[in-house]
Amino acid sequence: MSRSLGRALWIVLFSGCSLSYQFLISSTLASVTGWTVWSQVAGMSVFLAAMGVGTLRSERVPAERAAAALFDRELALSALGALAAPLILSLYCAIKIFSHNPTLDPFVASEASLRQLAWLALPLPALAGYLAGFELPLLLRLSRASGRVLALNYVGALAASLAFASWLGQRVSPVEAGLLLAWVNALAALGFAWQRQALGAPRIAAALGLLGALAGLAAMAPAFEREYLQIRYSRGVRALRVRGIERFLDATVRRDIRVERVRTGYQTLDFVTRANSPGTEFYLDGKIQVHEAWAAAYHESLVHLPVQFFGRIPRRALVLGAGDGLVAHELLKYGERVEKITVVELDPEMAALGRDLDFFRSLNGDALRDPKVELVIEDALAYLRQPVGALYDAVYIDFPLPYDYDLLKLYSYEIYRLIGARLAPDGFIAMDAATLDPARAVPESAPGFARWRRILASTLDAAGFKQLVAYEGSEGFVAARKAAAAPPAAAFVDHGIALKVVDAAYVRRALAARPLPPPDPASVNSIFRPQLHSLQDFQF
Amino acid sequence: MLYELILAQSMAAVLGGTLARYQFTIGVYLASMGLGAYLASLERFRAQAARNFWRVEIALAITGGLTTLLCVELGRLPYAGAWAYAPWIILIGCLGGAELPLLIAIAEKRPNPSGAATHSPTVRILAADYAGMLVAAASFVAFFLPRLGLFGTGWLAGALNAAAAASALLLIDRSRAPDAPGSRPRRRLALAALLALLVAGAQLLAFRHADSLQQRIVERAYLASATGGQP
Repeated sequence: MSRSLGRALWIVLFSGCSLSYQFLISSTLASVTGWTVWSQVAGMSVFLAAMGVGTLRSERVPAERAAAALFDRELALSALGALAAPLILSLYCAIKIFSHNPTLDPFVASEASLRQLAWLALPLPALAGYLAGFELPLLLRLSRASGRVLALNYVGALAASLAFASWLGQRVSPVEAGLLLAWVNALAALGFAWQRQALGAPRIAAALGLLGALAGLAAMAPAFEREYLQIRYSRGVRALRVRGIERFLDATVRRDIRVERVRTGYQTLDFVTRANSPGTEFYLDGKIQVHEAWAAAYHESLVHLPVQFFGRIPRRALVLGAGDGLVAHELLKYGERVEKITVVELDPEMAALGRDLDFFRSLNGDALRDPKVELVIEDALAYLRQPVGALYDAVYIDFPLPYDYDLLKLYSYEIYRLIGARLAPDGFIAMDAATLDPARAVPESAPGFARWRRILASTLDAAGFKQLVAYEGSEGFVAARKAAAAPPAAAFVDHGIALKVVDAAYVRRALAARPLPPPDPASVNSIFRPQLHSLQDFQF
Repeated sequence: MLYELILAQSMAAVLGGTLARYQFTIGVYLASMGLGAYLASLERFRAQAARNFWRVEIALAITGGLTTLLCVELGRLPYAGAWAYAPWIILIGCLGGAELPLLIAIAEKRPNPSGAATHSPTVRILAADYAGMLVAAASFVAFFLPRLGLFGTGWLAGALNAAAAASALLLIDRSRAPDAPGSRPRRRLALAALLALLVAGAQLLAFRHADSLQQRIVERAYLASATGGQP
């Protein structure tokens, strides 16, 4: 009884670990390049192609050596799995240091270096796929119950998906995940070979050596992650004149930067403090969200400028995203004139931090604890598809920029229709439209921006928003209304609230932004037909 | 593979794309594939491998094309959580999982004409399976999803699948014993071929009108829960 259970267990673990390595490589690659869709597709494609090659090559293994051959490959896979993530992360750091590219940041990058990195990393999934390709054929040769072997193979893949989606991919660092998988893989290989009596002294020694090495790597993992994060967020220009890695790290990284990383079930939060620049920076999944230095300018632009343009203060406001509470904070400045603010945030831990963490509380003035603010923890799309209750006078959209397919759904025809259904007839929406590079390094006319602006304009127009006002605050924003009423007012009305940046000149400058291009039916972004090619344009 | 990708994205579109949803879809789907693989390798199903392969393929051709529509329609029910979709996921998963064992069973029954010089049929089938998954994964994101959309891809895949199912009929025809009575099996084969043609034709027609069909389905079934049918 336990023999067949053991046999089943090895099959499940082997296939589970192999697929997990693929997930791990893809997600690590995505985090250092910022190319989420490419990393997943290219990684999976290379992996599968190499699996095909490995499967064909498995024929050459003679029957009596099948078990030993599988053991060897599983051990090799374990080593590869443990080293894959550290290798990719180290590659990123090496390129950043040696190519003298101090601003090499996955989401603010010069393409060429990232391309080098991406291609250099592809041998990893290729090798993993090649080795994994031997698994199924060899297992099928060793067993008569081919149906059971296939079925267990699928179960292993199932286990990998579940584990990765829920825990391995989110709560644990990629380096630790790889080490854990490698441990499990190596132990499974030992169990498998022992049951098949394919173990000789040299193989046992190799396995024990690997397990020992993995334990050693595990001890170094936290220090590795710390150094990686510091290098990733460093902008040490002066270090370029310093020779040698150690002196670079000492001069720039170790003394000047502190990074604190929090992993929630949905995203990774980084709090970065620099010795030579004021204010803490807050990053979500590696992308800048809040910089104490300009948080006020951004949120005032988003919230108050549309109020000025359309001449109305929203009594009831819906805020999508923005679990940090900063949008709500701006709205609460209007005091009695605002009656209700509903904030819809997907990540419960983000919302909890927005409510409890000092960093956010000092920025948002404890907005999330105000009795007028109703916090709803739900996916925005799911929330919006519920039957409409009372209408809102304004809807503020503070979603992450669409860096991957999932986020692209938040900029779709369907979601704008659903938002429109909750908007009062003369209500407005306002959003960070990614129509401008915040660093002003890339011109508006660049093809990527032009394409995205057309998509946004077309999608909003198709969803029923006929008046689109592109304006420029600290970023490119868009405000919109359903019916084209009076043009936006360029005057400034003082509502008696404290504003740091918004004044008459600011309002006039904001409206001087280039208008959005005319809508084009072929550029509409739908959940059921997404404009995926626009994703690669988001390199700012 | 395309059906799985379409299913995952359709459910994400209707229920919301959180991690738990993907986890759920992939998990149930893969477990069902395991179930399908196991069932297909049982002797009673292996015995008529070619005939069962035809049945699996035509069933997939029909259900695959209906996936997105079904997900959107199910989404209209206010209390239909992820579990309501499970029967459909299990169905498609089982059918998909049955493909490999049946193909391997068909291949093993045929004599190997060129001897031991080439790869064994099992290995070739596995390699071809991986190649198919590779093409599907790459082309789904690069081409199908942005160009044809979820509905269009489903109908096109269904039509192609029906055509592929028809090829299974040729396998059945060849594997028949030569001295079996002529007219009944021949007529049943002809009816089966007609069915495959009808399924392919219907899906192609839907594919041609994918744009307007998508608009009407989305309006009526997806947006209506909030908009109450008002534009």
